[in-house]
Amino acid sequence: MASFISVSETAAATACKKRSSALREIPRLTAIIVVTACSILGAWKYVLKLSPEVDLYTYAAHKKISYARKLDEQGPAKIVLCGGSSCAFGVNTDAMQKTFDLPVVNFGMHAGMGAPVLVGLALKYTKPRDTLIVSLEPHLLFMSFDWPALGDQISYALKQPDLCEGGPLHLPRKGALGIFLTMRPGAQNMLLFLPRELSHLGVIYPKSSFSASGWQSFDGHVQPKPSVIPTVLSADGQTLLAKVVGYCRQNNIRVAYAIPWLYCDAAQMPHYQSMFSKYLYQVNRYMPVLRDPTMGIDTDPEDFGDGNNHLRPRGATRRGEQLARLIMQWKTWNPDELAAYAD
Amino acid sequence: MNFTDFTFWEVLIVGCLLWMVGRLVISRNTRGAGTFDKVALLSLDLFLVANVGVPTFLSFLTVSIGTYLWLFLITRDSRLKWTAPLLFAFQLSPLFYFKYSSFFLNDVCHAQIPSIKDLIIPAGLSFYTFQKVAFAVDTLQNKLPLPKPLDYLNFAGFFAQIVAGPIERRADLLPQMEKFKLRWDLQRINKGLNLIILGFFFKACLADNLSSLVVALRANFENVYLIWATNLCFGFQIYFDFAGYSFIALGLGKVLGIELTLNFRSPYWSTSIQEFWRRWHVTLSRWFRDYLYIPLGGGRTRFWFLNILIVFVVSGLWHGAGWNFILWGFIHGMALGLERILKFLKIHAFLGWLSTSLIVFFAWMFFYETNGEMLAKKVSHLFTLKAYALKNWNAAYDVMMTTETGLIFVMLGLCILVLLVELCDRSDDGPSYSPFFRFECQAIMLVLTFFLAPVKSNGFIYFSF
Repeated sequence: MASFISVSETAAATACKKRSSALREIPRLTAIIVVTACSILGAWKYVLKLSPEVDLYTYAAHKKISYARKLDEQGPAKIVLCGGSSCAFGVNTDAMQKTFDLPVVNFGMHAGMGAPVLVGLALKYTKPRDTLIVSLEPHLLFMSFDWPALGDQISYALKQPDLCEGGPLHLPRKGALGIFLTMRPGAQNMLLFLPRELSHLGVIYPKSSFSASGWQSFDGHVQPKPSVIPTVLSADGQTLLAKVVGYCRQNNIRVAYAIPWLYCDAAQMPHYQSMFSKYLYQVNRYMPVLRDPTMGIDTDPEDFGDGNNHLRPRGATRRGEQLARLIMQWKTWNPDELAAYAD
Repeated sequence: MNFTDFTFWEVLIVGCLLWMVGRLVISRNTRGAGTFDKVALLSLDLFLVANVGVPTFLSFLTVSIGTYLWLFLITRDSRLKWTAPLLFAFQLSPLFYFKYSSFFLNDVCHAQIPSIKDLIIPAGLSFYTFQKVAFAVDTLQNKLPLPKPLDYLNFAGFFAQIVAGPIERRADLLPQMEKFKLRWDLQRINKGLNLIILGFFFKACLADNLSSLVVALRANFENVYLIWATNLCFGFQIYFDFAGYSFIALGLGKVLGIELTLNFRSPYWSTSIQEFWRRWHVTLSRWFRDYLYIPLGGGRTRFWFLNILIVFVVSGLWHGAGWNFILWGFIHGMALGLERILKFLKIHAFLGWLSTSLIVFFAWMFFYETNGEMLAKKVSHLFTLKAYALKNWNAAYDVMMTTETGLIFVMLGLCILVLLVELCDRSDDGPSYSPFFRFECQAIMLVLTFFLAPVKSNGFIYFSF
């Protein structure tokens, strides 16, 4: 009996000890959870308030949105250009307005935001009877969306989280719950961009590079290098184009694709034009393609600024004027012409 | 099982919640709870493996079930023992087909068979194949009974380690699976979380940032300083990447009450190549020692040097089907053999550490540079004295200060700091990373991970092996 009591007492003591050691773990676990939560919130706050990149493009988006609203007030229909930086730098919408009196806003942003956010943002400010010119960089339609973090960050900074799924396009997105983890700055942003911005050395473009109509100008010059262009549209790219056309049809918006200009050597021009015509042939299955006689190729290196698709003001003005004429005359390619070009 | 993919955690959390609900339905005190936990763990394993991809799932099931059934036949009828080599051939056949067929037939024999080019290797194939081979050898050699199918499948497919190890032995993991029962032990959960936080810091904050530097620097083959910088960055990247994965695997195991083997023991503080291999990818090194080196005769035969070379060349091939991996293994084999010959020279620990580090970081170049021509140019530059001129340093410095590579000094500084923390815990058995589990350290690592880790994570390097 005595031994039974002592055994049960020992068991009870062991259980009690275990319980107390488990209880000792609670403050530590709680502290870890608190630090994690604070880190997530801190990173989120930093991205939305301090990140130089997000700040610049949020500023640019606000500027473009208010200009689009102004054009809505002024007239019955406007022209909206959307795309990545090749659209922002590549089309001088100021000149289009001045020379041709076209009510046009340039919604070109940063290709790193991803095609769904770029198109979604422009579509949100396009109303019935407007014209939407999709000028996305080909690579955005060749790869799967990948949902880049910059797109999510800018969507939240604009307080338009629906843009994370392409705004009115409502594109299906895998791992949507993980968006909150994309609100993080990363080492390059915190350790390189921020210190340089704070010391006014500048890493990214200044806010003053955006004009009222949304055109972004940069007059520096680095010798451009030609790049390789794949030629098959991805499934995601096809879905996006189909959804854009469907939305525009439903909302009485005229839509066309205009290829951004790219640098290549004169000797390689036929090769690049053949590649682009294959690409445009596929795009043409979804929406009309504006009949750019250069097929998106510019062989003059002096037209380019800091990249092989970033036009300087002189190139952007030339391209803007050409685009204005194409829009006014609504000249588009027919599939047979594109197929012939590709051969 | 990409731990840096949020979808993995979504599936894991939902799976665990369903498990909990199941446990609530089945009373905790019934005898069936243990079996229920084993079935639940196996379901989670299979679901997560299936989530990785269909080829992975099918090859895993084929190797695992095939091994069990074959062993079942052999253990029932001893006359079938002669089929054991065929069993090993069967186990290794998916590995040979997916990983080596193109290299041997197209590259070595110049057979030009396009259908086997660019085959997608099922994730974790090299890891779970080696685990099954070890299981079969241990079972047959030691005449051990076959475990119950449920326990065996949990041993064979434990989700935390199936894709990139640790390569566990029967004696270490199987008894834990046989006794497996889910218990909520806060102390264990806390320790598991500590390991997971350390793993994420290594992988997301250090390895992923180093990865972009390696990408930006590796194209250079003319400037020796940049070549060494790339080797250094890659050496750190692969360590923090793989050690990070291993720590997360260990942490997940610990939370569930399963102890996995520590795969890394601060390898970059090794003072000899031999010590390096006792600390780097411990479970693979042990596998090669026990199932290849010792059967070849080990270090007690006249051909010990050849044995070492064979083991390391095979180890190189295990990492990848390519001449560069074979050369990488050969360099390590040579270094280890020469070290053994020269062991009568008692050198200072610092010199030992320096020479080991030089060899290890030089050899990493053979690991990341798959282009033979580039590799040859880099090697020839590294052995040209003139290439170390001051003007080349200035040119390298300019490159390292550009936007793409401007983080190099900060990241290398952070890596060195981490290695110094590792140095604080150097017991005889090797460091156990204990300073990283202090609360202050954990908090700093959490903050650094959330603020400095690139938003887009890279896959784990060892997934491709």
